[in-house]
Amino acid sequence: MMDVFMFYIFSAISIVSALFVLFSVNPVKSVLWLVSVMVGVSGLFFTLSAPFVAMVQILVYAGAVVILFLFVVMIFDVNHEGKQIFSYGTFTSGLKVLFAGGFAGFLVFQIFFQMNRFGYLIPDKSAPQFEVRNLSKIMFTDYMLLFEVLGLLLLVIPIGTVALSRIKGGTHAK
Amino acid sequence: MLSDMIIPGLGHYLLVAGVLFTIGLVGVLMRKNIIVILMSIELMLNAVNLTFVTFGYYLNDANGAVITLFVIAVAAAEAAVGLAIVVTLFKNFNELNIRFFEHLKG
Amino acid sequence: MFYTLLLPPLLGFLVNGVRFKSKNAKLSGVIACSTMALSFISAILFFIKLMQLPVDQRSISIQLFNWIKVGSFDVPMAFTIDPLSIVMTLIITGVGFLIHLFSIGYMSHDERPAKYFSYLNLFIFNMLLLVLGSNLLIMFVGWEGVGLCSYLLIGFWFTDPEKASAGMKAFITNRIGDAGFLLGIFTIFGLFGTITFDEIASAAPTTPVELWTSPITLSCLFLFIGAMGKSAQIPLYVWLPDAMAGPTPVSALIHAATMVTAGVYMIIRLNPLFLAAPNAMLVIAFVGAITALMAASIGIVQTDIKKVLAYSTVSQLGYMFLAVGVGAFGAGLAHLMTHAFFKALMFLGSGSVIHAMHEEQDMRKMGGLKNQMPITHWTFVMGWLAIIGAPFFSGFFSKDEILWMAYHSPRGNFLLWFIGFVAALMTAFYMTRLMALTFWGKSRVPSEVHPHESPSSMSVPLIVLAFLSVFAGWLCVPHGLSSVLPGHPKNFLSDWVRPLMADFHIPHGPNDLMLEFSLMGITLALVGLSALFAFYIYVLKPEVAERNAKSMKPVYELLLNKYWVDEIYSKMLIGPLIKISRVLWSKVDIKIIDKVTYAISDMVRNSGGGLKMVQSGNLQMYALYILIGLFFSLWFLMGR
Repeated sequence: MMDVFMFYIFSAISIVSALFVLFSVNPVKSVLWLVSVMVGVSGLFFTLSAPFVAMVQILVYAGAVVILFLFVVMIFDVNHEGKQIFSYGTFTSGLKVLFAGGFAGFLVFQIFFQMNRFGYLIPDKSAPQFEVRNLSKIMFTDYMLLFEVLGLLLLVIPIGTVALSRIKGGTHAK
Repeated sequence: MLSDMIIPGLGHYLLVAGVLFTIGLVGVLMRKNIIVILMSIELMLNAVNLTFVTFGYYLNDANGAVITLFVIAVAAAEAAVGLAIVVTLFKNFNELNIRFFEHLKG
Repeated sequence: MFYTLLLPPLLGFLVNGVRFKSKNAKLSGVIACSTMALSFISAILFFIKLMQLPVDQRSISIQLFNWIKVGSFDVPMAFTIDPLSIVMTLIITGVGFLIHLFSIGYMSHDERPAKYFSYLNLFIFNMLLLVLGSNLLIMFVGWEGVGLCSYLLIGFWFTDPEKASAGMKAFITNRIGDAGFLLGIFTIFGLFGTITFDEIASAAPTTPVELWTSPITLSCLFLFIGAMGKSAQIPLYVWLPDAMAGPTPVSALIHAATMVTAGVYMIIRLNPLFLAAPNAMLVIAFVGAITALMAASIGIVQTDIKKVLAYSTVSQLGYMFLAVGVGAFGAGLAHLMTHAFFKALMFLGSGSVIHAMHEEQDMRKMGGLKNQMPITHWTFVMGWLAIIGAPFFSGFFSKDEILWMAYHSPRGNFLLWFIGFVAALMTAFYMTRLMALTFWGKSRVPSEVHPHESPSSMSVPLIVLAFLSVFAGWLCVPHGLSSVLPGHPKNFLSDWVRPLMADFHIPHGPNDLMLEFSLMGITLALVGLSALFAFYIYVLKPEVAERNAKSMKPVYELLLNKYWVDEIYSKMLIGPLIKISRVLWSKVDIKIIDKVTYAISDMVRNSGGGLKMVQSGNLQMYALYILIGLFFSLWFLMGR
C-alpha cells in the first residue's frame, strides 16, 4: 500500500514541477522547479527498487547540473524577457502544440493498447538485479569499452568548455 | 479490475515518463529562453531514464540501470558544454532569445 | 631493363612538370638530358642483346598488364622490341639526346625552360610508346600523344597569336589524319579480328588483292590517311611549314627526325598488310612522289631559312613514302634514318644561326656567315652534301636506292622515277641556294647584329650529327653499289630488318647493274649541274637571280604563295564550315538547346527558392520538423 502512495506522490511532484518549469516566467524559478522534478524522478527510482540510481540522480543532477544552471542564470541577469516567455507566431505555435499533443496522444494510446495486448508484467522482487555489486559487475565487464570512452569524453568536456569560454569574436561577433 | 487501474504497474510508470517527455518537448519547441530550452532537454532525458529503469525492473534486467548511469554522465557533460556555449553567446550578443540566432537562414 | 628504356622520359616529364615555373635552364636541361641518356643506354643494351640472339628469334615481348578486355577484343599493354623498333628507338633516343643537349644552350634565355623540357620528355615517352607498342591501339595512344606534344611545343611561345594558331593548325590537321587512322584500326579489327602486329602479319593474305574496293585496300588507305596527317603528305602537309613557329630544336626533333616519320614507320611495320593491297601502295607511291616534287618546288623560292628546311622535310618524307609505296621498305627505313641525322643536323645548324642572329630567320639578311660561325658552317656543309646525294655521303646511298627501286621494283614505273629525279634536282638547287644565301657570298647582316659561334653544348651535337650524316650511309649500302665497291660492304640495315619483311620478290635481270649505274650517273651529273647553277646565280651573280624572278614572275608568284593551297583550303573548306557552324549556333544552339537548358535551370532555381523558406534559421522550427518526421514514422511503423 505504501508503494502505491509513494508512486502517486512522486509522480505528482515530478509532473507538477515539470509544468512549473515550463510555465515559470523567471528562469531562476524554472531552475528551482527543475530540482523538484529531479527529486520526484529519483523517488520514482526508489519505488522501482533502484536506490543507487536514485542517489546518483540526486547527486549528479540536483547537486551538480542544476546548480550549474542556477549559476549561469544568476550570473547573467536574464530577467529581461518580459511576460512573453514563448516564441512568437500563432500559426507555428498552433502547429507545435498540435504535433506535440498528437505525439503525446500517440504515446498514451500505444501504452494502453500494448498493455491490453500483452497483459501486465510481474517483477521478480527477490532478484538483486539493481544492487551496486551487480551494476558495477556489468559496467566493468560488458560495458568496459563504453566506460572508457565515457572517461575520455569527460576529459574532453572540461577542455572544450574552457576553450569555448575563452573564445573572443568568432564569425558573427559585433 | 479497479485495483489493476490503481495499483501502479508498467503502464503507469511509462505514462508518467511520457508526460514528462511531452512537457520537455513542448519546452524545447516553444520557450524563448535558451537556458530554459536546455532545462527542457534535461527533462526529456529524465523521462527516458525513467523508462529505462522501469523496463529494467519489470523485465528483471540490470542493464536498464547501467544505461541510466551512462545517460546521466553524458547528460552532465552535455549540460556543461551547452551552458558554456550559452555563456559565450551571451557575452558576445547580450541576448538569450533563440529567435535572435538565425544565422543558419537559407 | 625495359623500364629504364620507357620510363625515364616520363619521370623527367613529371619532375620538370612539377617544377614548371623554374627559370633554371641548366638544371632542367640536365634532368631532361640524364633521363634521355638513361633511355639511350638501355636502347643500346637492348640492341646488343638482340644482336646476340639468332636471326629468327630477334624479338623480345614485354607484357606489362592487361589493358582492355571486352569480349573478343583483348588489348594487353604489351611492347615488342624487334629489329625494326630498336632501330627507331635508337634514332629517337640518340637524336633526342643530342637535341636535348642542344636545347640547353638554345633555351638558356627563355622564360620557362622547365616547361619546355618537360614537354620534350613527354614527347619522347609518347614516341617510344608509338614505336614499341605491340598493337595498333598502343601505337595510336603514342600517335595521339606525340600530336599533343607537337601542338604544345609549336605553340610554346603562345603569347604570339600567330604561333598559337600555328599550333592549332597542326593539331586540327592531325585530327583529320587521326580520324582516318582510327577508321583504319576499326576496319583491320573487322577484317582480322585482331589489332596485334604479329597476328595481322600472319593473317594478312599472301596473294595480293587487285580490287579497289576490297576491305584490305580500304583499310590500307585509311591508315595512309593517318600517315598523311602525321607525316605531312599532300593534301594534309600544310601544317608542317607553319609548325616552324616552335623553338628550332623542336623542329629538329619532332618535325624532322622523329614524329613526322611515324607514318613511314607504321607502313613499314604493317608491310605484309600493305603488300597485299597493290592499289593502296600505288596511291602511296604517287602521293609520296608528287609531295616530294611539289614541296621541293616551293622550297626553291622561300626566304625563311626554317621554311626552306620545312619544305625540304616534306619533300624528303615524300621520298620515304615513294620508297615504301614501291615495296622498298628497307630503302624507306634507310632514308628515314639518314634523313633523321642530316635533317636534325641542318635544323640544329639553322637554330645555331638563328640564335647567333638574334632570332632573325630571313636568309636575305644573312650571307657570309662562314667566317663568323665555322663549326656551324662546316657541319652544315656535311648535311648539305648528304641531302643532295653527293657520292658516299649518307643521303647518296639511301636516296639512290629509292630512285632505283622506284624504277626497278615490280610496283614501280618510269614515271615515279622521273618525278623523284626532278625532285632530286630541285633539292640540290634549293639546298645550294640556302647555303649560298646563309653562309657564302657577301654579308648582308645588319650592322647592329654581331653573329658569333654558339657555345659548346650546341656545337657538340652538331659535330656528332655531322659525323653520322657523313658515315651513316655505310650501314645501308644498296645491293648494286656494294658489288662494285671494294670489300663489298653489306647492307646491314636491310639484313637487320629482313625477318620482319614479308616476301616480296624483286627480280634481278642481267642488265640491271648497267641500268642502275647509268640512272645513277644521270642523276649525279644533273644534280651536280643543278647545284653548280644555284652556286653560280646566288654566289657569283646575285643579280641573275633577281632578273630570273622577274622574267618568270607567274611561276615565281605561284611558288612563293605555295600554290595557294592555304587559300584554297580556307575558301573551300574552312569558309563553308564556319558558315554552317554559324547557322547551327544561331538557330539550333541558341533557339533550341539553350532554351531547354534554361527551362531546366529555372525549374531548379524556382523550386529551390520555394524550399528555401523551410530553412528559416529558426532552430525551434527545425525541432518541429524532427517531431513531425518522428510522428509520422512512428505512425507508419506502429499504427498500421
